[in-house]
Amino acid sequence: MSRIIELKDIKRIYPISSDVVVRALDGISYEIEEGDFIAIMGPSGSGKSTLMNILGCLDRPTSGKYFFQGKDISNYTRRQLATLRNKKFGFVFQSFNLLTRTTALENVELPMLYADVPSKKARQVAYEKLAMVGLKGRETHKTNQISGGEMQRVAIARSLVNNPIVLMADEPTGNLDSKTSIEIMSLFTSLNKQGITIILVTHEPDIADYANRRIHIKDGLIESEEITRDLSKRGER
Amino acid sequence: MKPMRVLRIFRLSLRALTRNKMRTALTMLGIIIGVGAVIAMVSIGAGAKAAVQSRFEAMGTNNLSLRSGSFRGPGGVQSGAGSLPLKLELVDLIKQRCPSVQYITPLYQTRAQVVFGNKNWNTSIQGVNENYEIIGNWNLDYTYSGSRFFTQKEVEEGARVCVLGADTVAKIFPDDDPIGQILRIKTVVFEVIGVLRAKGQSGGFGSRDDLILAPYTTVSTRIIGANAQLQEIQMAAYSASSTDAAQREVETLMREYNRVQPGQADNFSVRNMADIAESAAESQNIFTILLGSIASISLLVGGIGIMNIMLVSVTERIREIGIRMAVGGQEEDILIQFLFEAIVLSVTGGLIGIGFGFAVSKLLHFIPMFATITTIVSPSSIFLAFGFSVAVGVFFGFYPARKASRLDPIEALRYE
Repeated sequence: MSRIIELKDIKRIYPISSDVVVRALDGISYEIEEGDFIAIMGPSGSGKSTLMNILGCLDRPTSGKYFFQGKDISNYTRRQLATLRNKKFGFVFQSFNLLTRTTALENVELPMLYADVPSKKARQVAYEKLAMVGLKGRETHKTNQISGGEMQRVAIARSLVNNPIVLMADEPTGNLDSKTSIEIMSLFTSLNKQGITIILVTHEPDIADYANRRIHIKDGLIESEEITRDLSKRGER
Repeated sequence: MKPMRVLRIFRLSLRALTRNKMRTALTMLGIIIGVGAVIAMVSIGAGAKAAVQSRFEAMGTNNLSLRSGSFRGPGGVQSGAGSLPLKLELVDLIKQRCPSVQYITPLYQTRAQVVFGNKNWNTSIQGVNENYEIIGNWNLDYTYSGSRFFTQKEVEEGARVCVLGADTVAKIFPDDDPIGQILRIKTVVFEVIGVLRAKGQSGGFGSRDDLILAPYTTVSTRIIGANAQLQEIQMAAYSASSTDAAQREVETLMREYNRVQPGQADNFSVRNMADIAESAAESQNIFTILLGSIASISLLVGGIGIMNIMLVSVTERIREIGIRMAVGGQEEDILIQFLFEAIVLSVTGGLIGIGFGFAVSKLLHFIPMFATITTIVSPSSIFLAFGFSVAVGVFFGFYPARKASRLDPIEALRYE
């Protein structure tokens, strides 16, 4: 089990005016092992989204160190971060964030465009991943013609095409009914079993239950951490 | 960046444009009109320039013309108080003293009634010598057998012979062969010995082919009479390059002859056709540039239209930009995607505009009002307008594209 993420005293401070600042993250240190399934919880405004953005390389910390696979990436350029997001991360959002009026297939192919995967190969991979999330036969449906649950499956398929190491899921079930939520979460669980590290942001305890570890954020700090399932006993669920 | 990726991004841009067909068409329309206007306007300017140039070429570019009075620009001749009438002896004097002058002729000009049978026509009578055939750049029309110019001997003798312009022939001898016919100018009878080939429309000055040439000796004494006044001496230099030298020689001679003191203004004028042609060409160029710049403004407006639409498009698609960035799209991937859209708009608009401008300039003379306008579509104006429209696309497309590429991925994803 290797350590893929290590945060050291991460701070993210937004200046509001010359003398007022918002300390969204106020010194977070944390380590994530490969294959882990972590739920980040906390009330709104606690800083969990900011943490998520920094972990997902969408944002950079104001201070502190972020080691990803042993490399300090806290001072990476926009370009380097984009490459990292493309190759190592997958994203699933509450609002799906699919391209509108575009087919499921094209949405899933999108990350491969920026990874220079040849079109033929990309198409093949997209078909595979869509089948994997249970959307076989829906490939050419446009995103405005399918249900919320299906949209989230498309998003998951898209997040997987470049074989990411970490999957970032920001309230993935926030816009779904409870039955669909269970389906989506079991999809995450099976992906985790295949070895993908999952970082999940949620405020619903029963969604957080799917994770192995749970951390609570409050006022930009980690308030508490619970280990709900021992990593070594993974797969017993 | 790999060419493969560029190509795929280019396809994305095309698809975005075809998705909003109405908007794309309207945005392009600005460029179409702009490019079309530049090409049509410049073709009008170029046509006008060519018309002026051919007129001067018909006059002969080696030519010089001496008149009394001072010459003030292309407007006309000003007869100053101190101006002296030209004397016939100047012709011989110039022949002796101005080595750069090859041909010389006096020119008496009048209008008179011409009568042949029951035909009656008022036309311009020019009294010249045998050199005028060359100086005036005239060609004889040999479809009339025996057509010839008058000789030096006939000039010296004051022979009553004449050569007719093509239009004059058409008026007086619509059916007959004019050669050898006897006609009457005022009260004097002349034998027609030659017909000139038509020079064509002069473009504003009336016909150049309605005239009668006769020996100046005959014209000055028999037609004009006692008050005959030499209006002009026309000369031709050996070549276009010796025209300036010839002009200086004639000017020097004339200052001496008229006793013009140093520092005093000339009371005669020597006009150089090459200079006049050049200044006319220059003013035509200014005219063309003026037309072109006015048309360019519409191209500029079209470019601003592109920028406007691209800014709207970027704002509409902030979410899409966020998604692309989140999954690994680089700044330049986003930049070229939007830049391509602007360039495709302007290039396609430019190409259609070329066709449009071409059609306008070709069809213009079918409109009665513009029937006399000649237009020339030059390749350079096409390249210029097209290049300009591409530049407009890049220039006005760059700002919105850059704006898109500089977005913060988090904010873009959150944008509603």
